Amino acid sequence: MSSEFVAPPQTLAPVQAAFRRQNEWRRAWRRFLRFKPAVAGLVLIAFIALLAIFAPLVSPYDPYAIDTTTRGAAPSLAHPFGIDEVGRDMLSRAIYGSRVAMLVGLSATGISLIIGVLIGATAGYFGGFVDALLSRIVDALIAFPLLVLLIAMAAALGPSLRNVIIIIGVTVWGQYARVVRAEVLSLREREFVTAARTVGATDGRIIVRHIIPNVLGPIIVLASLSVAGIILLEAALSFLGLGVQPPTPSWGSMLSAGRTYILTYPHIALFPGLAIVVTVLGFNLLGDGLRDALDPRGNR
Amino acid sequence: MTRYVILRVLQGIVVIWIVTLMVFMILHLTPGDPVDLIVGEANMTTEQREQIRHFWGLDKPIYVQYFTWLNNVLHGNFGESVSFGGRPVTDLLRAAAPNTLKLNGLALFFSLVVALPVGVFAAVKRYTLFDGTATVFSTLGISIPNFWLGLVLIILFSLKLGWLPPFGSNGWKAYILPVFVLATEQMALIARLTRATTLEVMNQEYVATARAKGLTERVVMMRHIVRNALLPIITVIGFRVGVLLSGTIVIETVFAWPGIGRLLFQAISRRDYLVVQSIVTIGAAVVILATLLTDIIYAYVDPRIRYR
Repeated sequence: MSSEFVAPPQTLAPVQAAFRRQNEWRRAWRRFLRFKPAVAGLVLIAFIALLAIFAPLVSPYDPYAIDTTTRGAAPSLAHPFGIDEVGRDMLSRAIYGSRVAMLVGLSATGISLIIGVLIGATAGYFGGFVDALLSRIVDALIAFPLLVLLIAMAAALGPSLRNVIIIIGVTVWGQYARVVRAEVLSLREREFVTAARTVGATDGRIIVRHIIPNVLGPIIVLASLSVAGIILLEAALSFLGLGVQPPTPSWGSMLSAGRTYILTYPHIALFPGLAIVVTVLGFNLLGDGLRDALDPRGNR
Repeated sequence: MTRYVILRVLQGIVVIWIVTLMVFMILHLTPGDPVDLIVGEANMTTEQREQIRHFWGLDKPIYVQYFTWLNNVLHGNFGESVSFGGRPVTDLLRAAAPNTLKLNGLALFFSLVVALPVGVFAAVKRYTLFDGTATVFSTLGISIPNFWLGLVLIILFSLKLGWLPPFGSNGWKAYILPVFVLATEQMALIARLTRATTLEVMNQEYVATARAKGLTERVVMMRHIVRNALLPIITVIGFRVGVLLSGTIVIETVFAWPGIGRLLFQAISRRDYLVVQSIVTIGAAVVILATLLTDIIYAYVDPRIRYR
C-alpha cells in the first residue's frame, strides 16, 4: 500500500489504476451498506454460515442420537423444535442441516459459474458458428423444466450429496452463459480489447484477463440469487427422496418426513421449512442489494 | 415478420432436437444393465435376459436405439410403460395431463390478475407504504419453498380448522390450496418483474415528452407507461411455463394430485425410465413451444424486435 513512498514508479498510471479500482469497490461497498435489506441479508447468511461451521459446538444434542421413548414429542423447553419421528432432536438436526444447504448452494453455484462464464465468453467472443451452436445448447438446457431434468438425472445417477451438487452444477449454468455472452458481444468491440490484440495477446488471455473481469458485476449478482435458487432445488430434491439420503440431516428430507407424519406429528413439517426460508431470504436480499450497489447508474 | 417467424421456428426445431439428444444421453449414461431395471429382482437365465434385451431392442447399437425412439416419438408413440401394467405411455399422459393443466392454468391466471396491477402500482408509488409492503411480500414469496407452504397450509386449514381437504382432487375445495401455493410463487416473481420494467419505462424520454406536451397523467400512465412496461412480461410468461411445470411436481406430490408431476414421481420410484424419458421430453418441448409462441407474439406487438 505504501510502496509509492518507498520507490516512486516511472509512471503513475498503475498506481492510479489501483486506486481507482479500490475506490470503485469501496464506493460499491458504501452503496451496499446504504441498502438496509441487503445488510440484513448478509447478517442472515453470516448467522447460518456460523451455525454450519460451528454445528458441533452449538447443537444441544447429537443429531444422530435416537431416543425411542420420546418419538415425535412436540416442542418443549429441552427440545425447542421437538423430536422427530424416530426420536432425534430436531433443533440439532436443523443446525446440521445448514451444512448440507450451504455446501450444496455454494459448490453447485461455483461449478455452474465456471462452466457458464467460460461457455458464454467463448460464444460471445468467437461469434459465428461457435456462437450459434453454443447458444442453441444453452437454449435447450434452459428449455427443460429444471426440476424435471434434475429428477431424471438424480434417478439416473443415483441420489447422494455428491451427485446432487454435480447435477445441479451442470444444469443451471445457462443463465451465466447468456448474460456473459451478451456482455462479451459488446465488450469485444471496445478499444482495450483491440489494444490487447495489437500487442499480441492470445484469445484465451484476452478472455480471461480482459473480458471476464469486466463482466464480474452482473455475475456476482446472479450468483447470489442463484445460491438461493439452488438451496430451494436441493430442498425439493431431498423432499422427493432424490437428494441427500437419510440419516444425514438435510432440511428437505426432514420436510419429507414431515409430510409423511403430518397427521400424527405436524411439528416436524414446520421448523426445517423456517430454516430454508431464513437462508434463501438472506441470499435473495443480498443479491438484490448487490444489484443496486454494483449498478453505478444507481436506480436507488 | 415472416422471415423472423421462420427463423425462430427453425431454431426451435434445432433446440428440440438437442433436447431429445440430451434426454437420451442422460438416461443411457445410467450405470448398470437396463435389463435389471425391467425385470427387477426376478431371477433369470442368461438366455431369458438375451430375449428381453432383443425384445426391447437393447442389443442394437446406441444410435439405432436413439433413432428408433425418435422416430416413434415423432409418430406420437412413446412406447409401453414397464411398471404401469404395460399401458401405453401416451394413455398415462392423457389421463394425467388435464389435471396438471387445470392446476397450472388457474395458478397462472390468478397470479397475473394480482401481480400485474400490484407491480405497476408499486413502481408508480415507489417508496410508499404500498411499495414497501409489496416488496416485502414478493421477496418472501420467492424465498419460501412452495412445498413447505403447502404443508403449513394443510396443517392450518385441513388439520386445525378442517375447512379444506388435505389431499386429492375431488370438488372445487380441493383446488384452493394447491392453486394458491402455485400462484404465490408466480405472483411474487411476476410482481417483482413488473415493478422493475415499469420503473425502467418511467425513466424513458418518451414519457417525459408525453408529459411535456401536456397529456394528462392518466393518459401518460395508461398509453405510455403501462403498455410498454407489460410488454417484456409476455416473454417471461413463456419461460414461466417451465417453472410452473417444475413447481407442479412437488406440489402434486404434496397434495396427492393425480397429474403429470405425480406420474413422473411414481415412474421414478418404480424405475420406469421410458415414462420419465417421455415426460422430460414433452416438458421441454412444451416450454420451447411456449417460448416460441410468446416470442412471436412479442415481435408482433413490438415492431422493434423484428428488425433486430
